[in-house]
Amino acid sequence: MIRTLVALTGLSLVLGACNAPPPPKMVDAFANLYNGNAAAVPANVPVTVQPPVGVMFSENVEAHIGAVKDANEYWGKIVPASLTNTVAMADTNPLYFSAKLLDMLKRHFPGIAPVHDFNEAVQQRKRSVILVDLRMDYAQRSGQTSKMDIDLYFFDSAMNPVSKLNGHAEFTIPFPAVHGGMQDMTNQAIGQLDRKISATVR
Amino acid sequence: MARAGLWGALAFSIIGGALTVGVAQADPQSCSQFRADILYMEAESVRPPGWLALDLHLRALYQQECIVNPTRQPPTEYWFTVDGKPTGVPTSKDRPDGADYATTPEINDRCVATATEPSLCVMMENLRAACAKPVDNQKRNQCRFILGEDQKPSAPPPGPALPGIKVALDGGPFELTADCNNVLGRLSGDPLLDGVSSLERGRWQMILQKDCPKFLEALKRRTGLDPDRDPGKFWPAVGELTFNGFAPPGTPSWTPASVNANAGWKKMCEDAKTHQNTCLERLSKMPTAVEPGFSSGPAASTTGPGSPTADNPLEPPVTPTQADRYGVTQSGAFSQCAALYGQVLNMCEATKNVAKKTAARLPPPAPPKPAPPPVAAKPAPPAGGESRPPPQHQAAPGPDCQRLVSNYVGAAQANDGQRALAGYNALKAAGGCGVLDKVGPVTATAPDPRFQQRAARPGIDGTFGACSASPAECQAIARELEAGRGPAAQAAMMSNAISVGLQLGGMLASGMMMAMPPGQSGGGAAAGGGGRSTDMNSIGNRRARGTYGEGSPDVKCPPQGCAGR
Repeated sequence: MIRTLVALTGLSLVLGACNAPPPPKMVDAFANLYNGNAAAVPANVPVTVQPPVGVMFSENVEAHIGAVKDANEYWGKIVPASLTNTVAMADTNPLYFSAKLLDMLKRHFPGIAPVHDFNEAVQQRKRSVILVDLRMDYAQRSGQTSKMDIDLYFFDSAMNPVSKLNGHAEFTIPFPAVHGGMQDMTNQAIGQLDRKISATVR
Repeated sequence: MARAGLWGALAFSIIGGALTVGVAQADPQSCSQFRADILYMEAESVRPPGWLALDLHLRALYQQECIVNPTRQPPTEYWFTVDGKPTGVPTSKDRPDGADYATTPEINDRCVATATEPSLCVMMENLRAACAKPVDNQKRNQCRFILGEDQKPSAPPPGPALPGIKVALDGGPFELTADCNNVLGRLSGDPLLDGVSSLERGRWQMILQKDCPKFLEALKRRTGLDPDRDPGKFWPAVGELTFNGFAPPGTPSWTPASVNANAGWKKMCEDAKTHQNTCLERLSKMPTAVEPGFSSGPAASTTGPGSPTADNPLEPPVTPTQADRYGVTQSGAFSQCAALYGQVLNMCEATKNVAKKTAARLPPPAPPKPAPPPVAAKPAPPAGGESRPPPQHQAAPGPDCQRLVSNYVGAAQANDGQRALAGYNALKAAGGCGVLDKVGPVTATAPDPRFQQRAARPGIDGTFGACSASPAECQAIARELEAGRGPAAQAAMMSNAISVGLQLGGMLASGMMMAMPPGQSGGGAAAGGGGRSTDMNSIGNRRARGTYGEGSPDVKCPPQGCAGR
């Protein structure tokens, strides 16, 4: 999906149209991290986040990053380097999502630091943990709509999930197009989360 | 003291070899040296906090640059006159007066001997040579046309894979799994380990027993301690052993403070800071597509990357890669360079912090001993002349012991593992107060059933971990990515695509002209004879020696030139 051939004449986005790697399957946000059901966590409950705060990332985040890498490799083998869609690559680079999300979280929780899993969070004496989940619905071609949901799960000092905040964004791929709107969706969803954190988290 | 010199000569030389500022090379010679340096560092170096992260970073670089995307050095080329006479000046130097084209002596000899117009022959032969023996493993569609169906390009061979990280101990060497290495990294990061819970110690033991049991046995033999019986001594001993790089017995021991005070270490840290600043400075000075001075359209003149001059020297050969996010662009190379030196600085900073922490935790110097009391007259022995052992001081629990016991019990009842362990250690340090020997050693508590243990996640660690470690750099990359997706970048990409198409057409046309006998070419200067000559080098589709921007060899340099980026 990432590197696409910008044909000299067509200039249309051919995301996933040529047997590209399939998009990753989304799993429960707590998968491989916490024995529980993420769907049972109440949404938009006011919470108090006590420092030190840890942040960890779900398997869906890892899967998305892997999907970007796989797609880069896939299209890199097909498209000549001189015709690489550098715009789409910049658009989907996971560092953008990472930089924007961490920047927003650090503004609210200055000492926040990534932790690997809950065991590590306990060892590092974190009193709050935020689990970031990313769910994507990838559009394949022009006219289709991509959907992004970023969920933040807040865990208290006893490592119990107490609240969930959601940031949602969509992007309909125009025709012609050279990127899939990942940066737009990222900014939109993180902007929503920013406002919700200001309103509900102390 | 042999290990003392490792700081300057070892870690730093590896980093320098891996990636000098502004130049990224992964040819076989450099890769071989890089690989040897990594293995040497793992075998010989002490392992201060942050060492493991640095080592893993270097290994990842080797994998990326030497195995996934190997390159080779381009052949040395020289300037030649229009009639094929050598000037003796390599293309690494300025183009001398009278020079017409550049190639290798072998190609030149061949063309002078067989062609009436050596410069045109050289242009095609340079293309053919670049396709037949490319400097990297990028696929180039135009090479299918140039080489034909029968000839396949000879890609640079990948370097040999690195073996696992080995530890030299009696019974070994042991090749450890990632989890075992992570345990060692954690241990060397906090030599005192006095803030570590029994839960974490239990987890370490579980990992070592499961993943590297023979190594655990070797650690027991070497330390003479058993983690089940004396975890309070075993793990710090392993931490010290790890910190000292599993040096053979009898080797002088290093501490965080002594490493931090070492002159070679300090120099390495200062140099790493200087180099990182250089990379960041060059990164920040790079023009982006949205800046007015940036031109990414087709070359408006015949001077460009293909014609090196004093104002437009050759760019460092940055290899475009497919699998990583950094290696694609020149700015990516600077980011990679900064990240590498950042790992060294992380190690320096972590060692400094641990040195301070350990110094603060050291017990205060013992007060001077009071003068011995005057010798009192011995009491007369009891009747019968038998000597008795002196009455044993039965330590009655004093106020301190009562407090220590109370703290320990209170913490245990509150299920506070950290405080309970601290209480246990304090009680133990006080001699046990007559109660500790009545209970067994502290053992690992059961892990929380809600939590799952997760293995490393390279994607998350490589993005969020990197961004958290260097937020400013990450923000800079995000800005670059925004610019790289903006309207100017989109327009530049379109121009580039069109330019590539035009180049391809031109190249094919040149190839057809070559196939025509002299005099039948439409009257162009290229095929003319009679002393007419054309500077084909100036318009020739020469092999790119460096890439500028997103890998488009013919993108014009900005007005300030391509130097220094």
